[in-house]
Formats: sequence, C-alpha cells, structure tokens
Amino acid sequence: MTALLSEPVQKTSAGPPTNVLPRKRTNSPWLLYGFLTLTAATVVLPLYLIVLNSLKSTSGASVVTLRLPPALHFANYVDVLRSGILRAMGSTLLIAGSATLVVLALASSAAYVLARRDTWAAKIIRSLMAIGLLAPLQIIPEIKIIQVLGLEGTYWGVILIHSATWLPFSVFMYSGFIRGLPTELEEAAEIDGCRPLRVFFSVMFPLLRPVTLTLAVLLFTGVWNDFQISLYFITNQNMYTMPLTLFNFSGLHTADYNLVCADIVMTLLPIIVVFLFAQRYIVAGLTQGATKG
Amino acid sequence: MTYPALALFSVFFLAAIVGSLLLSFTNWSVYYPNDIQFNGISNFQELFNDPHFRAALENVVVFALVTTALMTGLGTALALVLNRRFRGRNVYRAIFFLPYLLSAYAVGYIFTFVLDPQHGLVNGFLRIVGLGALAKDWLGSPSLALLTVCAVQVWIGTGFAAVIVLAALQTVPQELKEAVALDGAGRIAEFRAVTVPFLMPALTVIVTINIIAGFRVFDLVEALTGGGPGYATEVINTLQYNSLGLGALGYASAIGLTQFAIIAAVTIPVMTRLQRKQLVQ
Repeated sequence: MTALLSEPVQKTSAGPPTNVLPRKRTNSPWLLYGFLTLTAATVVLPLYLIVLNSLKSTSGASVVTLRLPPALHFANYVDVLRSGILRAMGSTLLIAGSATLVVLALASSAAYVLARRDTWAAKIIRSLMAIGLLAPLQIIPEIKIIQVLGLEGTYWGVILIHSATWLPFSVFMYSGFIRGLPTELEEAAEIDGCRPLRVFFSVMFPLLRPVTLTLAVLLFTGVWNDFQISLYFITNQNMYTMPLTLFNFSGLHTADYNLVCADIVMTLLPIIVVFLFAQRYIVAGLTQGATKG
Repeated sequence: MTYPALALFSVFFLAAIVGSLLLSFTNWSVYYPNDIQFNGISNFQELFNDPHFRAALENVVVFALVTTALMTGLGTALALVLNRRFRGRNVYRAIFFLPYLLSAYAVGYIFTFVLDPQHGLVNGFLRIVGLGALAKDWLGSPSLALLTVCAVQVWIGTGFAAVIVLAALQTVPQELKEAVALDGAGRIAEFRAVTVPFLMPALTVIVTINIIAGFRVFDLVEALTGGGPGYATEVINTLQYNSLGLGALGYASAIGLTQFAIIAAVTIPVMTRLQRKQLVQ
C-alpha cells in the first residue's frame, strides 16, 4: 500500500486535445487515496484476520483477533488436510468442473440456435429459460426427482442440478453475445456445405471464446461456493464440498478456531487464485452485457 | 441443438416447478408418504397465518430492499471515485470486486468473528477510537441482527455494483458532457442530464440481480445467525430448511412456490419500469 501512496499522481488530463474544459481537480489526490485505502481496508482486514488466525496455536486462536501470534503454526494446515479436506477439495473440484463443462457445452449450442432463429419453438424455449432466471430451485420436488432417477447420493445428481440451475443465465449470456456477431461467416460455411453442428463447432464456438472464458470462471466459482444445493443433496460425508466441511467443522472442533480459519482459507484460496488470473475476463464479460442496454 | 439443453433444464428444473405446483396443494408428509391427499389451498392459508412465515417474509423484503438500495447507491459513488484517473486504480477495483466472488457461507462465518461482541474487529475498533459506547452485540440483538446481516451483504456486493457502473461510465460521450458544461450547467445538473441516462442499463441490471438474489438469500443468513435470534433474521429459505426437518413436505413446497411467486411479482414490474425509463430518456 505504501508503494502506491508514494507514487506521484498524474496531474495532466490524458484526454484527447478536444478537451475544452479539463476536469477540475479540487480534491487533493491524498484525500482520494486516503478514502480508497480506508475502504479497501474494510475489505482486506476481515480476510487478513482469518489468515492470521489460521496460523495461531489452538490456545492463541481461542479468540479470533488481530493480535500477532508469537509463532506461526503452519502445521494447522497439515492437520486440516489430514482431516479429509483434501478429499473435499477434490469433490468440490469434480462437481464444479463437471457442471461448468456441461453448462458451457449445452448453453453455447442452445444459444446459437435460439439467437439465430425466431420460430415459435425458439420463442417458447426462451420464455422457459427466462423462468429459470427468476425461479429459485424448488427443493422438495427436486429431492423426489433425484430419487426417482436413481441419482440419490451420486456426484451426477449434484452436477446435473447445478447445471440445470446455471443453464438459463449462461444461455442468455451466450445469446446476447451471438446476436452481436455478423452472420456472414456462418452463411459462408453453410454454402461450403457445412452441416449446422459443424458450423457451430468449427466457426461459431471459437468466436465465443470471450463469453466462454467469463462464464467458465463464473460457473466454476458459483458452484465451488454453493452451500444450499450441497446442504440438501449431499448427505454422504465422502462427497462433502468445501462449504459443507466448514458447516461441519465447527461442530467437530468447537474451540479450534485456528483449524476453522485454516479451513476457511482453503475454501477461499482457490477462488482468489482464479480471480487473480482471470480478473480481466470476469470484469469484461460481466460489464459487456450490462452496459449494452 | 437446443434439445440437450432443453432436456436437462426440463428434467432438473422445470419438472420441479411443476412438482411444486402439485405438491403445494397436498398434505404430503414424510410420516405418511403413501397417503397423499389434495387439500386445496390449506397449505397457503396455514402459511400466511403462520407468524414465522410472516416474519420471514417481512425480513426478506427488508433485506432485499435495504441491500439493493445501499449496494446500488454506494456502488455508484465508489464507481464515480474510481472513474478518476490515478495510479493503482485497477488494484483498488480488483480489491473491491473480490468479495462478490467469495463463498457467502464462508464470508458469513468470517463475519461471526469480525462482529464478535467481545473480541471482534468492529467493537475493538470502536473502543480504540473512543466510541466504546457504540459497541453492540451486532448479531445477538434482535433489533440489530437483520440490519447487521444487510451490512455484511453490502460488504459483499458493493464492489460488484461499482464495477458495473464504472463500465457504464465509460460509455458516456465526453463531447456531450462538455457541451452541457459549456451551456453553463453545474456538475450536479450535468450528472443528472447526461451521465444518469447512460447509467440506466447498468442500474437496471444491478437492481434486478440484487433484488432476485435478496429474496433468495440463504448461505449468508445460515452462517451468520441461522435465522435467529428468535426469528429476527429468519428468511424464506431458512424457514424452508427448518420446516423440511418437520417432515411437512407439502407445506415446504408451498414455501418454495410462494417464494417464486413473490420474486416474479416484485421483479417483473421493476424490470419493465426501469427499462421503460431507459427508452424515454
């Protein structure tokens, strides 16, 4: 943070020469940095608190505070990993990864047809998908459906529920993007004798890369973080996802807040890493749809 | 090519809505699973006479409105600050956006530590700056708990709103602002006349997404309070989770269906209204 503060602030407006009235800078840059740093601190401090306490001894973490520990107990992470967290990370990765792939494949191909055709069937399917944007998953009948299909207690059951709930949002993200693309490429491919499926996979899908990347991050994150569907549909401890281990963890070690904090860090860390690498795609993809009007 | 998607969506989502429509009008219970009887609207009558459901309904309306208003307002203010040119802008933008991507359940868990009455950061800070009198039992007091839960949601979602508004601010044509300024409009008048219309699409998205999410809130409440103290922070989803334990499946289905109806009733008019406003301006 101090490095940021000591850097000089550009005073001159870098706008085009047509700028008749350069924006007035009545506020000092220090006020701006002060405000932003304080606001950023409210975001960062709670996260720092958890990292700090994940490294304390059990007695040192009996109260979760910002007090610095005399020694850093990295062994807490070994304890947490031994207690089955590694398995939970694997399960979460499997569920989130599979659901992401299922949704990307189905949503992109469906959106291609829905965005390009205006038949009555396409209209009906679009309206049905719109219901999916508003409606919360109807839990009780869903439990019954999963039982009837014989998917109770299976990874596939959970993966398909996640996929179905994320499908409408993804279809609308894709079709919004596809509508902005010119049709000439597809038409050329069709004239060359390509079948629709081939047109989609060799011409269309590569063009959809920006949305695919954004959605991949959002879907993976959304499913990784999910608590509600996991809580209702995962009863087998061997299939627990990260948020469920957290739900269960405190019950097992009520006073071991250092281990609870280590578990929280393990839940958040993969998402923070994904965010650091994919920030550009998330922000670009999300804002594209929201500012088009 | 739409059929695989349609099939998945129909079996795992739409069928459940149809199921809910049917089950909500029955007395289905785990104790008499084979004796399902149609009982008309009695589940809904019971629901609306249930003080716990009414409390949950009231709480979720307060939660959705308060958090949407605060996140949209604070997010817009933050976006206007971030819209200035300064070094490290992208770093700040990333920091503010991050909470939106984190597990709400984990965030709730973190804030039980942050808001702890004795050792939490919030009360600790208040005592250090000499405002110890303002230190409260944020999650344990029935009158404060709901607003505290709202505040944590604002911590989660303000950066998301800011990032969306910030992108919309880039669509405002600089020439238009200058033209209005030359005509002698003040900054506030210029903001209202020029900037706001260009922000409307973004604001529509933010308000709609947050209202829907507000009515569906579960993870955060479950982690922070579990609906307590008493029923002070009970929301529709926590009520449904608790009622499932009672085995009244027809009743629990009616809760889910009512939730859907309320979301549709609130969101559709808000969306059409905001979109109309966009067209007029």
